[in-house]
Amino acid sequence: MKGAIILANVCIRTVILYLLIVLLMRLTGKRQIGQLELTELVTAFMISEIAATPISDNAIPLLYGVIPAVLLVCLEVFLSYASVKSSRFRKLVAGTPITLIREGKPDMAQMNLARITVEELASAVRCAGISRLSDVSYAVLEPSGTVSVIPKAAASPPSADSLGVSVGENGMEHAIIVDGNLDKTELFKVGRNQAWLTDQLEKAGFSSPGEVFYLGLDDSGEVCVFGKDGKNGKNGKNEKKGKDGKGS
Amino acid sequence: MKPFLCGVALFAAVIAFVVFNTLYLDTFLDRTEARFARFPSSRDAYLSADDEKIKAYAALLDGIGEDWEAHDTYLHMSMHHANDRAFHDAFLPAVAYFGSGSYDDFLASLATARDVLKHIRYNESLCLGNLL
Repeated sequence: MKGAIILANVCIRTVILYLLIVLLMRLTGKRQIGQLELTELVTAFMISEIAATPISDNAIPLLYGVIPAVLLVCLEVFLSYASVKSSRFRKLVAGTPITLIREGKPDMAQMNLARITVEELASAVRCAGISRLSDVSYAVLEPSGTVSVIPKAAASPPSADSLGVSVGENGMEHAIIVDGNLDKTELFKVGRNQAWLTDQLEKAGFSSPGEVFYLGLDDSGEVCVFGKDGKNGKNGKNEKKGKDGKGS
Repeated sequence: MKPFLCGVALFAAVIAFVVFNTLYLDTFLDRTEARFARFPSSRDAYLSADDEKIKAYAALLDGIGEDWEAHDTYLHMSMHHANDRAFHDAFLPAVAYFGSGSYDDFLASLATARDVLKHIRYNESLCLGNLL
């Protein structure tokens, strides 16, 4: 029975620390989840190590994990804030971008400074979808550790602008119905209302949002509908929105 | 700005808790050490003590034990459990030895318990040795 109680303690401690760390990481911002900068990486490593200790050792108070974790996140928030406010501080903490290829020529001195080999540079260039180093105009090692590659104009895919073609802006698509669930906040955010939605559903052959797997509306007014039963709704350009939220 | 303010609030809360904890633990240890200091350090003092004095020492021991028990949850939350165990390992035999009149063993256990208190105080104190 005593063993079971100890295990229950471990379980409860794990849940408490898990929820706390999730909340704390949320406080540090979404950048933690994607590209980590140096300070963020240090914080993530230290928090994971500190949180694990009270979970595995019941003789260590939970506070010994909680207090350092909270302090680390506070420090990370303060450093991020200082970095935003002062570019000099940001350079000191996060470093500066290092140009590895400048105007098509690899910069050996900068590569040595960044301790990046030609093989690693070639690999980063291939990851950017460019097969030859000679096609690269600029390659920059960012403070986050990623290499940004800018191809030479001749090796770049043609854009609508360079071809002299005029294209309309579609903007961003807003998900209004996902898996039968209507997101009213999103609906009102794009300036539409329930009547407009009912109209769109009828046009697409659906009677209620529950029948729809996905309904999206982009900034140009294009509606995209997929039914749950696999049938596609009628997609099409929607009329411009009126002041009342209805199509005019 | 919101995460920054949350960070400031959390930081202030942590610092406030740490200061409170330091003061609270300090007061508790001071009180316990003062009680220990009231015990004579020679065996003869107990052998020559009348019943009233022996009862007073027993009450003092009970007081230390009860105070420690009353703060048990707090102590478990704020310091390594091994320290709490070490104190109990020294103090409980001292109570038993006092009850049986084995004053040499009682004094030895009492000295160990006081050493544990000193150890706890040192571990919790803010000093260069602990920082490094």
